[in-house]
Amino acid sequence: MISSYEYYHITEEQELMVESVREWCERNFTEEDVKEWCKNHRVPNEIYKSWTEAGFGLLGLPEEAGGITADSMTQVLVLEELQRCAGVQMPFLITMQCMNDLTHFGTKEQTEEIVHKYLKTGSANIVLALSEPNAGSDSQGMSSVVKQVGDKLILNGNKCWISNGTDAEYCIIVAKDDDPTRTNKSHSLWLIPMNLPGIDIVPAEKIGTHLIPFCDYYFTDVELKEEYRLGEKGKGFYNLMKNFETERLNVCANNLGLAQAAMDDAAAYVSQRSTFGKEIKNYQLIQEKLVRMEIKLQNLRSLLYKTAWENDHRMDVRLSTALLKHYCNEATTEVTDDALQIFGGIGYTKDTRVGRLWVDARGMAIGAGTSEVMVHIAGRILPKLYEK
Amino acid sequence: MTAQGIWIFAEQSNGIQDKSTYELLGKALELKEQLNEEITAVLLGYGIQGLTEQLIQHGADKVIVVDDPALAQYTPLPYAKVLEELSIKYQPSIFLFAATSFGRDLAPRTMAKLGTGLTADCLDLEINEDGILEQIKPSFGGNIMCKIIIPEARPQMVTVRPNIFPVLEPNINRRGEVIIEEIAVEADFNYEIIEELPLVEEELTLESADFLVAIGRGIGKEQNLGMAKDLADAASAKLAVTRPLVDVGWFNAADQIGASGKTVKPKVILNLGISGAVHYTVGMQSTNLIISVNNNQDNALFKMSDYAAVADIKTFIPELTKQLKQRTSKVEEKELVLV
Amino acid sequence: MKIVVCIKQVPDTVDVKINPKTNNIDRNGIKSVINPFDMNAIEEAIRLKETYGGEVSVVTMGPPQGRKALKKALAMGCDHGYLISDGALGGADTLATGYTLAKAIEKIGEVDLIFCGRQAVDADTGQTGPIVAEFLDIRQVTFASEIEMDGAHAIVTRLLEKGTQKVKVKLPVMITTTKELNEPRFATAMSIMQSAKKEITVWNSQNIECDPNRIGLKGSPSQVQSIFPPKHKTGNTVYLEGSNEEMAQQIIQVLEEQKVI
Repeated sequence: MISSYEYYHITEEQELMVESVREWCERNFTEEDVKEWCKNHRVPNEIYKSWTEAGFGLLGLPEEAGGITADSMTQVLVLEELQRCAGVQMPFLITMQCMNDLTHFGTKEQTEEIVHKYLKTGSANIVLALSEPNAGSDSQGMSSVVKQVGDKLILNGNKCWISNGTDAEYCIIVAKDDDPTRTNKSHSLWLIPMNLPGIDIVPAEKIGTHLIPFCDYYFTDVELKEEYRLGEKGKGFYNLMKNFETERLNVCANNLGLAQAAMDDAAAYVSQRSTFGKEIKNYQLIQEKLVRMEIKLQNLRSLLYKTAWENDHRMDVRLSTALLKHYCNEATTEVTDDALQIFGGIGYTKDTRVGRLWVDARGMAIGAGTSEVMVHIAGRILPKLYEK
Repeated sequence: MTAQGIWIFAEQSNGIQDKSTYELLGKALELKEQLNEEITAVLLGYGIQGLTEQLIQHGADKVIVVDDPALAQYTPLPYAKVLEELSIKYQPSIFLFAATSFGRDLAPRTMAKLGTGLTADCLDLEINEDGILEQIKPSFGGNIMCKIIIPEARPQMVTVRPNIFPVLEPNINRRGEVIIEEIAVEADFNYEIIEELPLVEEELTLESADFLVAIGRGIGKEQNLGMAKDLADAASAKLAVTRPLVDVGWFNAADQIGASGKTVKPKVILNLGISGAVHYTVGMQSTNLIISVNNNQDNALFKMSDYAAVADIKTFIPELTKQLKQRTSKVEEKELVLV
Repeated sequence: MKIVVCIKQVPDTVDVKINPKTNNIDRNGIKSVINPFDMNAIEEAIRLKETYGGEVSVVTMGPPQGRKALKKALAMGCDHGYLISDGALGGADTLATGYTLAKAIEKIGEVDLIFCGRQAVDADTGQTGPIVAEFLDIRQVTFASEIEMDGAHAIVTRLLEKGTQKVKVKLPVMITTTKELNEPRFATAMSIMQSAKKEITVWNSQNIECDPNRIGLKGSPSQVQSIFPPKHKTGNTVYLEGSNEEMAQQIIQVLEEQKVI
């Protein structure tokens, strides 16, 4: 039996991975559990541990750090299936991204303790702080700065929307070197222990994505040490940007999973719900919705897998990931919206999960690259590409 | 010589004849009417000759007995060897076993020795116009029924689910022949039974109860099990479950009805919160009277029920229990008065 | 210890129907998985290997897609897979299947333990294990709910209708497994990655020296004459009505009539 997996060059091992992810989800939690977690705004520690013990949390991390070498395609498939089964934005994407950045930019001495704790508990007690109130899409507009004052390094600034930030023990931040103004293009990455004096953590409440709590960090005259600096001085942002593309791939895999979950629910619902004496699957307007939803999902999947393939073959994916994220933002918000519409009134209650899918998918359509920024990236590459 | 004769493996342990043997004998009497061949019960064991009487009364024309200390307890190799020898000597046409754990262990071993066909877990047997045994059995958990035949190889071997065929009234005037076969049997010293732990003997088992109360996933959370047990107690019924309730660990396999559980044939079964998937119904479809309660009226079980009620079982069960208790106390009152 | 597990690939769901046009089972779009009872067999084999040392081979007889089932078993922790595939093997009943598997195991050679699941969810026969044991001339223990090794013996607890029985059997032995035996592990990411390097050997009936008269349709004494959907009692259902109180009353009436209360 030919499966379209072969068209995408998906290997038997990758297929087994996907199956195992599904099994892991089925064995470790139910929809009832997810609802409970969302109320508490946290995923229990045992779940983090189990994800790492199953090896999924180790994918993509360097082997010296105890990770499992896995290509983009594998990571994408795993995240997509996880989200599809869980039906909620799970925090693993964030923890895996942070661990990835950490092990990429930090030295062994800097990262040893954190990696050790991660391997043992599955909880990455570090987070990434990039955005600022005045600098979301406009990263150059950031004003957090580390100044050399005498023989001390002093950090001042304000970071916001830090995913999983409330419990973090360490934080990777990007800050300007010495001069906070826009013209300064020199940034550094810093691995900061969160118990330093001068750091304030203020939780922020979101309208969705409740398993990834947000918070703001306020840094007032925080004293840093040189050994906290990750990588080369001045290259901080440049380093981070390289990982943005993989981040975009993984976020799209995440959102595809959520949108697919919405389709799974809605397309089944149409056979269960009757109005005016007929099952709603018999109404053409419903049928049309399903058709459009399916087309978008299949399109997005093709684009996603193609981009993962390109990344694995070391092709330049700046354009591809920008196009992908742009399409994903639109497609997943539309699919989840249509799903919500199909459910109607009951979809608006917490009796079904489609409302949660709707709001969680919408969140990731903003985070990790808005469509506007994607236009900014892709729109400047395309004319050069087609130049005669 | 052409194969002839309907053989029944007479399953006994510790000198007690299993009820399923009588069920098979009853069916064999039916087959005999069409085939006109003798029925032979094959009885293996040690000190078991006292069982031959009942076998004959239940329909055996002959009983072949192999009585040997090596056969005192069931072990696969000696038993299968004896059956092989007997089959080769007598050339029966049909050989029936009960699909008990005993039969399921012994029949395929014997069948492989004889190089013949074996159909397992049959629900019905018929003789076709060519005099061949048609074996009807469920597959795919009961979703598909298969009719199987063994056109040439002999004997045509079959295991039959217990509790499908009725036990007929024994005929105390029936006479039959007992044949003692002296076969050299070697015990298998490399297969040693070192312990036997019977299940806590309950007075009422799933198979022996007249009235079963069966619950399925509709019961919801574990805390609702109490109300189901109360109902079963109030009705003096035995509580049975579907597979999902065994899978989550609330019950044992011994309490389960279905394709991978037990087959039951009570007088009445009351299904509560069961959808009626085929792997369940195949285990109880021969029940005399089926009553089903479910909150969803679109379920397969209703279609095969004699009485159906649409209700939320979580409120219905306590109501039914209440009324049963009231009734019992009224009956007890009456009895007091009569005394 | 050398352990062999016999597995079967079955449809993912037993909710199959008969296609009225072809009068055959409609297998359209149904995924194939490892027979659930065989999963317990695989798990036990791996567990024993981890405890006592040795290697586990997994064998399946079937069409080329049986490879997927073997890959899954390898991903769980088995060491080597064998696919017995050949057109001539088609249409086999349990006798022919048991014979073929026995020949394959003979070729693998020097086996201490053979595991088979207690029954396949599609055919529901539960015979393959004992038949394989007979052709290999080794002992059998069925319905295992617990297994321990004791030197050259296996101590097996059997789950029977009326209780359990503990049996001590000298190796080599064929054991059929039950669901109660263990909880099959799911393949971790590490295990899956490692399985990429494991080998799957494909054999046809000649590689394993099968007598052509004993395999496939030719070697099958039983045949399926016809298949049909089960007959359910339909119609004549009396729907009770009213409040819970009223319906309960009606049910009690029926129970009284039936004399079960």
